[in-house]
Amino acid sequence: MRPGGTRSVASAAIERVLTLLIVLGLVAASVRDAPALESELGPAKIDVAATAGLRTVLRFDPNTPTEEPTFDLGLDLKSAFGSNVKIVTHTLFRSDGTVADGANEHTIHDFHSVFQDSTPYLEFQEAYLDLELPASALRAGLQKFAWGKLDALNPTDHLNPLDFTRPLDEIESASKIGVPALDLKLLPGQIGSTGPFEEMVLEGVFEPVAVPFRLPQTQDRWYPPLLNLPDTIPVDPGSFAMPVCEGVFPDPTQAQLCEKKVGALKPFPIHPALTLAEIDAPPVEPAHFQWATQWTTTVAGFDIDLSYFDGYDSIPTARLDALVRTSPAVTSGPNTAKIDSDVDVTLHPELDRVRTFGGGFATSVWDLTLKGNFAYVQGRRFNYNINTTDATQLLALLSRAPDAHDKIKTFLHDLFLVGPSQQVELDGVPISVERDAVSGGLQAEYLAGDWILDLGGYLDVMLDPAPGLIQKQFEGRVLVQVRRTFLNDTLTLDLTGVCLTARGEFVGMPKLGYQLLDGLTAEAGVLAIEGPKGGLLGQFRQNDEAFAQITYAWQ
Amino acid sequence: MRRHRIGLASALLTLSTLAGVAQAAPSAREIMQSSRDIQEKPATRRGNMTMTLVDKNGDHRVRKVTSYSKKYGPDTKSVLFFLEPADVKGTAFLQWGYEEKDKDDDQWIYIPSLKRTRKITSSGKNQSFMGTDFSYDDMSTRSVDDDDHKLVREDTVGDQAVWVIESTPKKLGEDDEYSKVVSYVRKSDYLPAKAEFYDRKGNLEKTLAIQSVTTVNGIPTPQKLEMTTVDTAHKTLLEMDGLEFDKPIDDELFTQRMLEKGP
Repeated sequence: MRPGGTRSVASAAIERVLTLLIVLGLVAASVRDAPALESELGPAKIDVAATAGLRTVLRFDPNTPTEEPTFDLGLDLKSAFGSNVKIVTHTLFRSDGTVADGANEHTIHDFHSVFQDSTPYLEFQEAYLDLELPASALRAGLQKFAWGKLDALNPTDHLNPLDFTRPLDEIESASKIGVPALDLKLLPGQIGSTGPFEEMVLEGVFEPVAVPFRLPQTQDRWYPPLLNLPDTIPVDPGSFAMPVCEGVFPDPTQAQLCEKKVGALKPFPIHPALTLAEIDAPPVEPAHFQWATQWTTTVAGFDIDLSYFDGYDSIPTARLDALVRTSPAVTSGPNTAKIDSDVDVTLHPELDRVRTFGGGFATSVWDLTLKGNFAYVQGRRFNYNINTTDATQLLALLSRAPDAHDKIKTFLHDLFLVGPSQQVELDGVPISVERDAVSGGLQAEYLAGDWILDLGGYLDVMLDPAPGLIQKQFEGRVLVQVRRTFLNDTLTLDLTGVCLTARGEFVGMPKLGYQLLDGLTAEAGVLAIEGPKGGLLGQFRQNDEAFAQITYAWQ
Repeated sequence: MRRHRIGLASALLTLSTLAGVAQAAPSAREIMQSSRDIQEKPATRRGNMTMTLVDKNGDHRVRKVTSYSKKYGPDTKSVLFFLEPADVKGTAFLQWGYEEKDKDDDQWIYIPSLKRTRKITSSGKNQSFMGTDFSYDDMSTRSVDDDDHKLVREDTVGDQAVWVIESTPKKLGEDDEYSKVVSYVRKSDYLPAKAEFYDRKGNLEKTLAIQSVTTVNGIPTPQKLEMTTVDTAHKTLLEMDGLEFDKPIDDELFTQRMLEKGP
């Protein structure tokens, strides 16, 4: 990990606040009367909108990775050719302070890398053509989707992979990665809107390119500690259940001597080192195409959707390649060899195919809006916790590699009986297990006066549990969101809390925003994380931070 | 039946359209009924609305929306597209309003940053409309028979002779924002020249002034209105342009899909 800075927390905070104030003043002074960016060019009516943002973070724990200020510049361009043809692009330029350095040499984000260059980068988030056709509509190009009724943690919303480089401070849409796709909507006139069904739409999406998720690197602020390795793993040779000597010595006496020598070995440490490898993205060919379909309608005050998705999961998984090397022994006797060993581990992110059958609804009940989505996910992979100092557990993990049993047995045999300078290469170790799952959520929203209250409950159920996984069989989540506006909507207080009930984990984010001018908003808040270090959220518990940001939007 | 809280196209006329010159001095109720009848007359409405918010220090903020509405028998569908300020541009609101008693309106809002159309149920009639001095209740249609109307006196506003009409809810309900509304109705064309809104405790809360009037399809319509909140001295200047009544509007515009696509 990148070492923390040596400056005091207070001086860093003062410097950032001053920087924010200076930028804020410059922006306010320069854009107060910015001209409208709307014009007509030949047959096209062009509408341009842009945003600029600066975000700075004050980490509470100086031993956690730093986060430099993040600068955003977004540009939205819409060109309408009459009422039936439209070209839309959303482009983002960002210098991302959450990462230590660029992962590759490409300043423009591509469609096949998990680790992207982020300091700075240019990303075409969306670029598509809209065509209004008779009783149908076609959208072609790079696009983001939002399926389902729930605002967050939606189990039917899989069409876009997710960017996990800023997992807790990005809103849902921003964390989605645009994908090349064809989206065809058949509208009521074509499929027939009859009886009580209103605004019926049948939608089909085709994605020829399997775009992978994005992950931070190990030294970045938001790299998941549970997918990191401990510095040292103590190994007690006697703890291995594997019969190292069995079958090697036909003479029982020799076998007994072998077991005696193995049993006499002293505990030794393993020093793992983790390297992240780039994904082998699936080639663009029919076997890897993704597709989905959705039916939506409104009936008797209920918005309803049913959907099916056949494609790659948005939840990251990986496999490991491990090279175990033992150094020359320092011996003081025939049965007292001291072994020092290293494990070079390479983590290869992988895409895994899932199929999802889902449905959802939204309706009004009294003064509440009630929403729900449910899905059966076939073939989801659940990750093991590799951040363990339990050698037995590590051995069990490595044993999942092809031919692992024979390789490990030979390695241990040679290590214990021949000499300590041995190595074994285990490729393709899966760090996840495939299971079917059921996911669902219910959300209730109450809007009254200047208040917005949201309460959501979600449950993920792994249908066949397995030990050692990061995720429990039943993962319940509760989401609470409270928003209150003051001073004619110029001052906003937001409080967002997420609780994972299985381990008592919690993330809270109170935030205060003020609209300084039309389009110019300043926000400040705190991100607080609690929970056991082996938890989905608790692993980030040292990353508590305060943040401030200013955003200006103009058109 | 729920009142159409953001039936904006209707709202363009809610505060006005008391046209239809009576031959004899009408009763207070007849004036309000006439207003209501004329509001209901156009089958479609569309227009742009610019709201300039001015605080007590004179600082300005601008909100712009474009709106469409269409009647479907007794029901009304309306849609609002937010144009300014830039940080809310692209936000759109759709409402299917029903006259049927006990049937809730269907409402959806599209938020560009989420790329998601969200069904909503707003229970805040008193909530400020886009941070202006107008509440959602101010922007809604209200049945004439929900109130008792009393002709208080005859007076003048500027150079206009007016009737002063006091309207009070027949039964002050939990959702009623005002305990009394006093309207100053011009005798020349039955448009309100100004109005005063009293809160539930009987204190003057807001005042409305009609600053200019235009005629659309033969219907006199306020073009500039100013609402002032007495306590804060905050005011909102509401200016309408591009008003069109009874022009064809495609049904497709009043769908969730069009919230994202825009008009």
